[in-house]
Amino acid sequence: MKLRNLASVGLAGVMALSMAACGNSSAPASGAATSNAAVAESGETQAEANAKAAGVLTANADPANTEVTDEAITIGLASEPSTLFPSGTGSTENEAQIVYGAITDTLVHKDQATGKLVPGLATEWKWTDDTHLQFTIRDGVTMGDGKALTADDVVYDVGVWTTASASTDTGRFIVGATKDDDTHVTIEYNVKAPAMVEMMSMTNFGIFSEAEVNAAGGAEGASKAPTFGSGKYKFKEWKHGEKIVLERNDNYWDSNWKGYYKTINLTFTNDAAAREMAVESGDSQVAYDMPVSQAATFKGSDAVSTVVYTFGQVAHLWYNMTGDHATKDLAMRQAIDKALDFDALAQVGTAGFGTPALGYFEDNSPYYNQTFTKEERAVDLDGAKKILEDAGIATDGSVELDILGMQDTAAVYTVIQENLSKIGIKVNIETVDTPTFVQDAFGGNYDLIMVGEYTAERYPTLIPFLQKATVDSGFVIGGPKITTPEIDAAITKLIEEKDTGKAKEEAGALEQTMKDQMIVSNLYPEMKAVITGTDIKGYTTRERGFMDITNFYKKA
Amino acid sequence: MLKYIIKRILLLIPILLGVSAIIFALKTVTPGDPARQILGNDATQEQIDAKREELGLNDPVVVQYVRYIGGVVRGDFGDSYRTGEPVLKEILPRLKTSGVITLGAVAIGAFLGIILGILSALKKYTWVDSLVLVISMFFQSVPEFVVGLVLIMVLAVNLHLLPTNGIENPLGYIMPMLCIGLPSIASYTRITRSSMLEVLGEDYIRTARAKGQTEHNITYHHALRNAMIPVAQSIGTSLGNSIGGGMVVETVFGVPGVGKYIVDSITQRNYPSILGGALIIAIVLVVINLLVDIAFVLIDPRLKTTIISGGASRKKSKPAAA
Amino acid sequence: MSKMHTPAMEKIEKKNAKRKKPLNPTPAYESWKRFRRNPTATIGLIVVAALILVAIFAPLIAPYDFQTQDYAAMMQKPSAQHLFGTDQFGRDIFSRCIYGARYSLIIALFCTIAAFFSGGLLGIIAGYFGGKVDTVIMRIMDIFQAIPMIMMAMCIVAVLGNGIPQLVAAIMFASMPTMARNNRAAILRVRGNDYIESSEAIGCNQFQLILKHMIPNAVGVMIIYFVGFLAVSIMMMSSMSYIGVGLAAPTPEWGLILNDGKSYLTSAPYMMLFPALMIMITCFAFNLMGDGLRDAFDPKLK
Repeated sequence: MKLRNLASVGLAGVMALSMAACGNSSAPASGAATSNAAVAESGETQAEANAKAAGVLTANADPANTEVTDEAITIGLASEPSTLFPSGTGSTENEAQIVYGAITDTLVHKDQATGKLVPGLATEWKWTDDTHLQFTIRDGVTMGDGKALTADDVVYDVGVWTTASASTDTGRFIVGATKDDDTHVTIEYNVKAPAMVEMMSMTNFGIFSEAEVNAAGGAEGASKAPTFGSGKYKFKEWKHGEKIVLERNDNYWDSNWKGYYKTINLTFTNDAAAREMAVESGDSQVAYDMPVSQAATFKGSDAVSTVVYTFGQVAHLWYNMTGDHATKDLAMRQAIDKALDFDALAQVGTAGFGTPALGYFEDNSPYYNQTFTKEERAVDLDGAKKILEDAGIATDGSVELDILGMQDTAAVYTVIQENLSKIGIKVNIETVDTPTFVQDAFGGNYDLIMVGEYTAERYPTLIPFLQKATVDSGFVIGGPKITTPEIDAAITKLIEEKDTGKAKEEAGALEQTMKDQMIVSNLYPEMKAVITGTDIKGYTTRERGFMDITNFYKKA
Repeated sequence: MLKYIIKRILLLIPILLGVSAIIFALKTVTPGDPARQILGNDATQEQIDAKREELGLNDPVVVQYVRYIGGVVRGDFGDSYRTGEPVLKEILPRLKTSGVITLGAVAIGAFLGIILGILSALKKYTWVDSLVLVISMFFQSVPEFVVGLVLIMVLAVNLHLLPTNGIENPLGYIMPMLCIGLPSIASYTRITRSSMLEVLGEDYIRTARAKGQTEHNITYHHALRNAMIPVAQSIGTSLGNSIGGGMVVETVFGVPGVGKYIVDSITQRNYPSILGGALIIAIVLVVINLLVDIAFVLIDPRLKTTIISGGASRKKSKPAAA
Repeated sequence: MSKMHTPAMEKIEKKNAKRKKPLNPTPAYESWKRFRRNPTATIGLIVVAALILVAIFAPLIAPYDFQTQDYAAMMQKPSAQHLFGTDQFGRDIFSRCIYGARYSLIIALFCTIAAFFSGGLLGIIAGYFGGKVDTVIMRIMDIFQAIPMIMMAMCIVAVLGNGIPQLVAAIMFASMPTMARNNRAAILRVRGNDYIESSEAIGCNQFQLILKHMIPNAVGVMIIYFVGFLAVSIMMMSSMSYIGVGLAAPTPEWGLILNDGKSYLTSAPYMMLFPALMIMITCFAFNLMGDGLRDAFDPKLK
């Protein structure tokens, strides 16, 4: 009896004490950005250089693994995918793409460290005209069923993309594919965009064979048990609600690749704190998709390692420029841009690693232009107030703006709210769930909205917020909801441009227009964060910073 | 008795109709198009329209409702928008998981609660009584996700006793059980205490005392047995009520239970799954309550009159866990 | 949380079913005397009173504004300048917790009042009129009862969006069935009293009867539910913040502060500890007070 009482009291005490006792972790992450001593190496963003200088790991930085073992790794994802055959079911879920990227292989690969394209299942490729791209299929690639990859398989796959994924970026820019001979396939696109070849390295363009899909029971069956593909790992088991198990493909065509782990277990834990604690306790080795601010607090921890990296996306604050939105007024937008504390936004948005973005593209992009000077990014409250007064806009708090976002943007929105309160503009933060966000963002039900864009290449989707077709259709998340024929033409030209140098100039001119009209405020390079066990190395990524789960290994 | 059971089962019909009607009503006013959720953000209006047509979302809501009820009558709860699998097939294994956690949680809560309750009844008005009150209320006053995260930190990260999350390892059930069970200690303690005090004041206990029985014998032989009846009834109903109540805890521990299934489905606007989840929880709740009542009548026929005559109003005295 | 019913409610309910002898109307003074004799209840009352004072004088107590951000002082551990440390925006957690008393208590009060005016009123009507009215109302409540509280609250927030009125509405809807049951039980209990029956017999009008006799007699029990529900709604708010359907930033509501802090549990635990303590102390005090009130208004067992 007494013991039980004691135990209860003891537990209560432990609860309180352990919370306090664990407080002796590293210093806060602040200061990294301001010191700014780090110099970015080629291919690295300033934010990543800062992170490295601050003692945090970045992605795609470790040498490749050379050892093969029978060990297993457990990776904690935030949520369970609904399908493992994204391109066959028209899905664009990150988790699905992470798994799919491990079990299939693409025609071309992109070296994330250098940004260069390298051969994958295709040994060569060439543009036969502006919209036709011919691939030479690699010999000796064994698919899941033991048969060799054929040109017919590739043609079949393109057919699947254009039908099952016609509504996503996977299928909508492709007209179809023709088999030129047994080793050559030509894919036809419906847009002129040299970057389409880059796009073929994305996970959703993973190659599978017709026979394998049929053997797995068609697209439906394959989405639950994707026993296909020629990827570095093979699908083994999916215990719904619990885990997905993959096993190393010892027949992988590229003998240079060595998979350290024989087995990969993917588990699903919504709660980021619980995901991190699983790594700390040793139950799992990787906690994916951690909030950067949270991961940064483990900098210097003995229990876990922190990986922080940029992924080709700058966070942008868009102004709704339609209807009777107060942000339709140029003066209002200029005043807001002047009042924003870009340093603070970068600090909060990237946990102190990133610095304010000075252009639309990320600073290591070949198309990066420094459109804003550092001085222009400084807070200028007097200037902002003057603009408002000159334009006859009240600064007594009677102007209210709605800013739309989800839970993960609440922190940055809090800063914007605080910044704008100083020029007498009241900001209402609307944090809604995903379906409501999508609906409101499509419908333009906001004054301000923060949306990033993946600009690693000049994909046909470049700056969709200002492309006439997307603005007219209403199918773009956020943006000003209005555009001009001149801007639209400039974007098209930028996408079609073959010469990188010229493209950079064109991007610069376009950004100048956007700056003059203050269509968008470029905030900071977005970052992703991952927590790993201290002995885990080889964190690599695919497009959009998705984790590549095939290259992990243990530190010797 | 049979007539009573049939009547109780028939009561399920208006409850199920009502629950589905409420969710259908909410569905019509909730922003967020399920078709867009399925197709993704790049889908065109034509594709969305086609999908809406395919899902029957363009029909008047009454038609959708009638069609849905028609399906439920045939045991078809529809297919999940997200996975395309039949909802029932997805829910049943999750129901089992939640069921195990509920059983364990109720067992933990009741066990500790009864012991604390007896203790405080026997030592009423002493510091022990007050201490028990404070202990039993402690967990009731801390948000359950805090309890959950701290349990993970202490038991899994620091002591390495239990897995941090998931239920692949059966030990993974323990923390979710504790997390749901501990806050309920307070109510079991209170019922036990008051029931014990009440019984100890009854005539037959006085008679027993007068007959010179030992205090120990009185407490554990006469009083406890009778005092346990309301406690047991309370345990019975909280079984039914807590099965859908693990939403927060299941999210903290990454447990694939019904609660987490419903939380996920709401954020995805996955209406067949929301509806299916809600209806199945309602069915389980009503059926468990019925079984508990029947069990009590079988165990103690004296209860027949109170249970059967007060069948409906009886429920009001039960914990209303969410 | 999720326990809609507090210790006190439970006991009352159970007794209701059994009570045969009418309860003599207890003068408020008697109750107060009994309440004061109860040490745990007195502690609860003192803490609640202190919290109310903190809420009223928040601007005087809090050393900083609850939303001023200081990027030079982000995530600092508790110190003399910042008693509870600072959060990821450099905001003073102590000040946020102090202002949190204001927001959390007021929102909880609104939730409780709303719940009483919806579910509570329905329960009183059902209990008073009985018969068909009772059956219809309680059958409808059965339906609501079958939907788990958090699920109901999530659905309501999905429809209405987030904000204080919306949150109050969500908690109100979610708690309606339990509120109705509790209040119905309270009325039924008074209804059985001899003097109510005799007043009815001598032809008092119904309105007068409810207002003058039944409500004053049932009010003690209702206060118990009221105090209990304040704790329930504070817990409910924090659960909703956790699920992601709570209030929007930067409202210094404890549940929201707690949820913001939970991300840093292992690296900066003070960010979670202090708001958790505030919630714990408050709910604890309300629960102790409720328990004392139960004994005070319903002394049969003591």
